[in-house]
Amino acid sequence: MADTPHPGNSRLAAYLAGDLRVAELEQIEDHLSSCVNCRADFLGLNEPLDSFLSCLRIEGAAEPPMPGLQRVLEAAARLPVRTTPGQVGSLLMIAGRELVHEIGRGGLGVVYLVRHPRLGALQAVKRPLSEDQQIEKQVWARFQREVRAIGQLEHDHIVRALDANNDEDGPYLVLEYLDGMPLNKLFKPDKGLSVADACELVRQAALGLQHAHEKGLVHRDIKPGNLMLARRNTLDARVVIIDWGLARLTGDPTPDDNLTSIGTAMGTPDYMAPEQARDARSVDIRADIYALGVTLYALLAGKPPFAGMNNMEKMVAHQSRTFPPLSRLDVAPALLALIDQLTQKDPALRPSTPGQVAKALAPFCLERACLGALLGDLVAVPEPTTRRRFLKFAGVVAGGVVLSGVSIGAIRTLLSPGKSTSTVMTGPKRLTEQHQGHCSSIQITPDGRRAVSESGGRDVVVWDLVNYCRERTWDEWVAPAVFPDVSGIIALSPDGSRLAAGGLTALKAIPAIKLWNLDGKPLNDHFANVEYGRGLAFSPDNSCLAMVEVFGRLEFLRLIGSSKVVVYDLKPRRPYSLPVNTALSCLMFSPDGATLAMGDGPVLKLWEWRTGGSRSWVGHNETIDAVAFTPDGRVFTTSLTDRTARIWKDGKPQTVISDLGTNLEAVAIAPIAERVVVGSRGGEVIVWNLKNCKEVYRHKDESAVTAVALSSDGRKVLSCHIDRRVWLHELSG
Amino acid sequence: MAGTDSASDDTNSSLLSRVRIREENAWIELVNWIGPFVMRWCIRAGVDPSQAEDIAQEIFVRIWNSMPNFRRNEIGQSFRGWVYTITRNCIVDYYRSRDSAGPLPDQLPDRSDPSEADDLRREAIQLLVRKCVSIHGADVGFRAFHRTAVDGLTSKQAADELGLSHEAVRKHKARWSRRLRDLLEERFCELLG
Repeated sequence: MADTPHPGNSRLAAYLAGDLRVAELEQIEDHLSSCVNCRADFLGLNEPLDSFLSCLRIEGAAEPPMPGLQRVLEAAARLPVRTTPGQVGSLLMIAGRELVHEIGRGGLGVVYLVRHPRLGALQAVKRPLSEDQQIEKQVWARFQREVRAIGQLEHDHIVRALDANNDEDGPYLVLEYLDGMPLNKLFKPDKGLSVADACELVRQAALGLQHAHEKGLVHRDIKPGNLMLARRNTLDARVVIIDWGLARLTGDPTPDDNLTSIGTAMGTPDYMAPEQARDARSVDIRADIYALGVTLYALLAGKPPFAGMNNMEKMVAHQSRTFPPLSRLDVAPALLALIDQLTQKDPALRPSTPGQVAKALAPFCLERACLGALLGDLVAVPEPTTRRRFLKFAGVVAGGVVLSGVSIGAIRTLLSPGKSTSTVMTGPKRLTEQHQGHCSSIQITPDGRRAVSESGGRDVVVWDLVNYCRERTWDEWVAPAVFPDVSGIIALSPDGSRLAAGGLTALKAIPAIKLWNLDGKPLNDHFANVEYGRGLAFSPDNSCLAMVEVFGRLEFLRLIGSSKVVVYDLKPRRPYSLPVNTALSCLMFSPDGATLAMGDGPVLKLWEWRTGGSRSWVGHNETIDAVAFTPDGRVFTTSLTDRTARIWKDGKPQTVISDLGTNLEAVAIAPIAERVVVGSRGGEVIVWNLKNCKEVYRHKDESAVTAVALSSDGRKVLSCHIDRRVWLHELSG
Repeated sequence: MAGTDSASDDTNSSLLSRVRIREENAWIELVNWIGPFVMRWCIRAGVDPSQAEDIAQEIFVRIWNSMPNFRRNEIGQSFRGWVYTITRNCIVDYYRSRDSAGPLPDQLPDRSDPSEADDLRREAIQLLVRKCVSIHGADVGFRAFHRTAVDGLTSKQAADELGLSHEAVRKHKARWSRRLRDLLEERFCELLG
């Protein structure tokens, strides 16, 4: 008999409902473990249902769907990256407009986001502001200069002035509102942008500068921080030159004296042309061209050439020293030569107009640039510092870009194997947005325009490979990732119209395979008791789905029991099954649909599933991770553990590649193109040609690869990494 | 006991404090929680559905901007009341700023319906359960709780299904009910009521 008093039914009921403090709860558990009578009472209690527990039940008819709710939620979810912390929106008026919030404040002024009371449009208001009496005159002079300069300009790549006036608080300038980021916020220190993106950004800036040049203006402070990438729509963005406070009319005799002692001197030492450091009054557009060249260098290197020096050293270095060589191998010699030409110490050796620069850059840019994706990337690039409010923003303040001086990333790039890059047209492109969890399965549609992936079972994502972005997400699966050795899986039907995805059902957390229409809603069709490890395949005519079923139960987070491969005829749902080793790892139908190939551990099994015959072929030393048929009836297999790729003919294995790579994690085969791609935990993505056993492409990322996909023509490779990003590598034929 | 380790999950930290420090995931969670209510308020106020979307977006901009300043005690109102006030103001501003949008909807009560406090609580609890499913979905104790408390099986049925003893299922259910109550308190403390 227990020492403690019997709790009585009401306390037992409270215990069962979870309505007792933990200490009391433990007391009761202690008591129950030793008191037979109370245990009987406890087990005899009715299921309690208090207000808390009743909230857990999902009951009643669902509310009618609210149109637009999803869009509102998505837009709201993006707010953290699209706004800067500021003051509360209120009825405060700035320059006759409603204040939304403050965008930025610095030594020279303040910029507000405002809304026009009648037009409803968002605009930016800039006011000169100085708490330091000493430089007040300079701040004002600079402001006046900007107002004069900007009033003359009207160009897509130059910030537009909408109004300039005085009110009781002083002068102000109303500018178009730019929803975006300055270029110095687009890359991490020491990690540059892709060549095509960097060139396109600078090319657009050059177009803007050409317009200013035609109006006789020199900007004199071109740098990434004064070039805004502004959103046009979700996909597209344009570069806009901001902060014309140092601009000068060529030949204008007015002295700059008022400007010289502002903290930034005349321009920013990191980007300043040598002649501008000597005499800022006499410079012409070629000083801006120099700064454009340095900007391009910085976008590629992830930092300006003389980062780490003090301002005086930087100015001296620009006078006399050559730039440190760019430590990346994907910059074409012709582009290096162009940067060199832009940054000649002698202005006479540089191109004479920004228009020429834009023209020279065009061949390095993509025909269909997708700069909006760079802004989307911001979702993933954490702020280097959490002190966002102190960021000098929106071009109010000039100042060098603070970047760390140590170039570990650059050294790594230099050391990484870069061979066989000849088939690559451009560097890999990062898809906008990323997975919620670790992606372990991804496939490209037959037309190569889209891809589908799952991420740790948290969601299924459809990717738009044409616009390099996410097309849609289904998040009705949750967390199979909690099973330590089982990952999610997807399979696309050969016609690209349907998708099967494995995961846990949301409500009851039961492992299952669910079917979806790629363009529409989920098909109300699912298969339970499925091991969603690696085997899932559609038959060539889309009529059958093969998967692995498990009979057993969960124990210590592992499924204990026996496995069967099952082919379901989808209409009517008729199963055909074959017992297999539990280590089954991959499934693939033959082109005629009659044979199902699978990796049953190291054994390649071929099952004539309608007639029942099966053959086992032995050759691999370790688990087979991928299998594919060629149209002429050969079978390709790869094993990530024995690191070989093999071709089977009449049951005999023929080793094609004996060392696919090290620490391999993911594989995909394109049988028609005869290419295979592998991804490693070391972050490598390697494409092999199975015809000549040659390596076709190799790329190294810092982040381990978790899944890869290969388009059927073998030209597009997707790699998913443990940092949850997805990269698209486009290869030539 | 299963489910008592919480090193890897963030279910037990206050959503409000995480939104205040601009933690993106917390914000997304908050948006998903109150979003449907905000939309419902707009529609109930008689706003045309096509305009409700615009207004709701504006409401979230304001909530995002003001969130660091929300203090339940100082303002003397609930989070629900605060969000409702923002919603109401946005609707009024919207109709004032656009002459062509027609007259102000006439069904704009000053306060939200008190019964919605319960709806918000229910929604918060279900959000929490979904979060726990994603973190503890494989935990047999959690499953025992889920099958009984959420799916409505009796303890006996769940015991048979999961291969547990009847008593174990009831213990798991008790433990997890307690745990969820605590999580709700910690996570939504200043946001409910």
